Amino acid sequence: MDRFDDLSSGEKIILLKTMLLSRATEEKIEQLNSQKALHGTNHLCIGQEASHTGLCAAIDKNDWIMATHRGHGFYIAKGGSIPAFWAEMFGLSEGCCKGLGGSMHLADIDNRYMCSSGVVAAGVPISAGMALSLKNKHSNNIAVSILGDGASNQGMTFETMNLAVVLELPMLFYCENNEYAVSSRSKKFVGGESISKRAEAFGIESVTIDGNDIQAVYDAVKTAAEYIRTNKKPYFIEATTYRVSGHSRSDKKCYRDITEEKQRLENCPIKRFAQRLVGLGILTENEIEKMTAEAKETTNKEADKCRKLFESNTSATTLDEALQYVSPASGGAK
Amino acid sequence: MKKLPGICAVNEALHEEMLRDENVIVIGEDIGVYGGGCGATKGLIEKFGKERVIETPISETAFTGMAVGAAMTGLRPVVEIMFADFMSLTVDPIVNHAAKLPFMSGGKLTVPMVMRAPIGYGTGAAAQHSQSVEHLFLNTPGITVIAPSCSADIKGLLKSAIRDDSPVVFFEHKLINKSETPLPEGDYTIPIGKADIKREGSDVTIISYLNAVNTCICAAEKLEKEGISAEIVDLRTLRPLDIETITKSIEKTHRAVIVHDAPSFGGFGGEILFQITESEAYKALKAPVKRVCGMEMPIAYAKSVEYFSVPNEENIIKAVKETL
Repeated sequence: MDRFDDLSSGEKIILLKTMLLSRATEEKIEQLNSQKALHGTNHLCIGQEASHTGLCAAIDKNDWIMATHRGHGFYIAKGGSIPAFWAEMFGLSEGCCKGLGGSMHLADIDNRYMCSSGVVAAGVPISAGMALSLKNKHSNNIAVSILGDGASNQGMTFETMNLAVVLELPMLFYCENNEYAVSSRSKKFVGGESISKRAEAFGIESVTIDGNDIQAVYDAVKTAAEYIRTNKKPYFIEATTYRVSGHSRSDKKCYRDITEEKQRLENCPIKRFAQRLVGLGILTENEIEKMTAEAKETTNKEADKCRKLFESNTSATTLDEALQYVSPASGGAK
Repeated sequence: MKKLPGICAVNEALHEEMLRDENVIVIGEDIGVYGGGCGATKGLIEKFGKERVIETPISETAFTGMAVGAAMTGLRPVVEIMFADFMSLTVDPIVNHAAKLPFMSGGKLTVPMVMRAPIGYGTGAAAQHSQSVEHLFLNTPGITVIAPSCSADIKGLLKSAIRDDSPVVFFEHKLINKSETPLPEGDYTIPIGKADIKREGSDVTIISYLNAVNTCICAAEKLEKEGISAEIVDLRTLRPLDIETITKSIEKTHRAVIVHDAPSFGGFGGEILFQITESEAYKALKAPVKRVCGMEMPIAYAKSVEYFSVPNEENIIKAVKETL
């Protein structure tokens, strides 16, 4: 099994580029939020780049994932199109979901990013269903359920952990403990020793890892995926990280001190990985600056293009188009 | 034609559809050798094995969500909920996910699944195992709701539901499950969204669904003896509603009574009436439309209360006469 250390310099650089693209995209959204340029809300994943990038790099490209309301980073890391992302954010018909899903409900079937649910923990049983399909077809692929510390307190999560064990589902529970569920600290609301210990109680192999260390994420996911494929059993990873942004666009973060954020930014996953690549002599500081600027340019260019289309009301999804996608309530057997 | 109970119709439809399409799977509690709470899944595990007959722990929310995920990714799950009352536990996966994922994904996903459950009063099962819960799903675009009244319609509609690409909620009334009516053999299907005239008549249209249809038929037979001819429209599918069959009948009879077991307040009768008022048939009405519904109370255990808190022949006859 490949480990992180086995990746070539080029592959490591690609990982950093993905993290930078994710960060640049989220920062652009922050800017658009401050200008009230976007129609709806959004949930940013700044500070969690090692988690989504490491996960998506370590699984097979045909493994299925289902993400949450905080899904932009996973969409990008799974290879999602940036033009289709921005078109979705602006509600345009070229969006990855024709502008009907929006930030919280991205889907990119071609890249096996199946969908995202905005109902906390509701994606966990749905991911189990994806795993059931894979099992039914005797596939060697796995389903990954992305959840957060908030979802770890939902009954559906417990029910699904038990289902995954008794039905022997090829499923990875990937819990990003980013310390906050809206304003609620996981330290305050997650009872017991840890989230991964809960999985252990169900008889699921589990581990808690430093989710801000891309190497730790990559290696843990490789181990987990290998275990699931070999044993046809679920696995649970709790990746600890920190939600640098507020919960959503409207969050003024009154529940925490700005010094906490500053301290945590020292543990920035991008900074950590960039420094490591410099230390290894793979990249220079200058090259990283250049890559950061390129990521910004890539995403900003598409964002600005879609903003213009949105503001000029060109390419907006029409009501008639939207109505086609309501499940055929016209009925009739096929 | 052989007369068999409704539950045999469910069982035949499941057997035939599982045989026809290997992507059809069943999911639920006690559906293996036990054969399901009402016997609907008898013989399936022996024939199709545990890969396609997936017995679950008592976790309705999780296994319904699991069915949504399986439906999205190539399977056609038929989920059994032991009693329709427990569908309260499945509202999130059905209403927030099965109904919306095709839309939210801009048509990239389909969710071909069926939720089936025994519904209704009649067995002394009391307040949490006897209620009518169709209202939970009727106000959600993207869900098809089916409510048949006899074995033939159960078989024909369940087979169509399993083949349909939209999520379907399928109710099986407990009294119909036990009642023997003609059941066609072989590949018998009925189009979703088509009402059926269960009895032709000329003086009044009675619109109903599920077991209330059978109560209406008994009432109509008594009315016939008094020289009153009632036409019975069995909706069979609630959403989408076949308003054309209703309005055509009213244009003939000029009078209408709506009958359902669910309580009247916020019930489906209100929707039916409003669609009548929006149609041309409204002008044909010679009297205000009446409704006979369940009373504003939970279903009681005591038989003396249970059978009188839902529409019965007497109050249907009374309502019909009030329209004449």
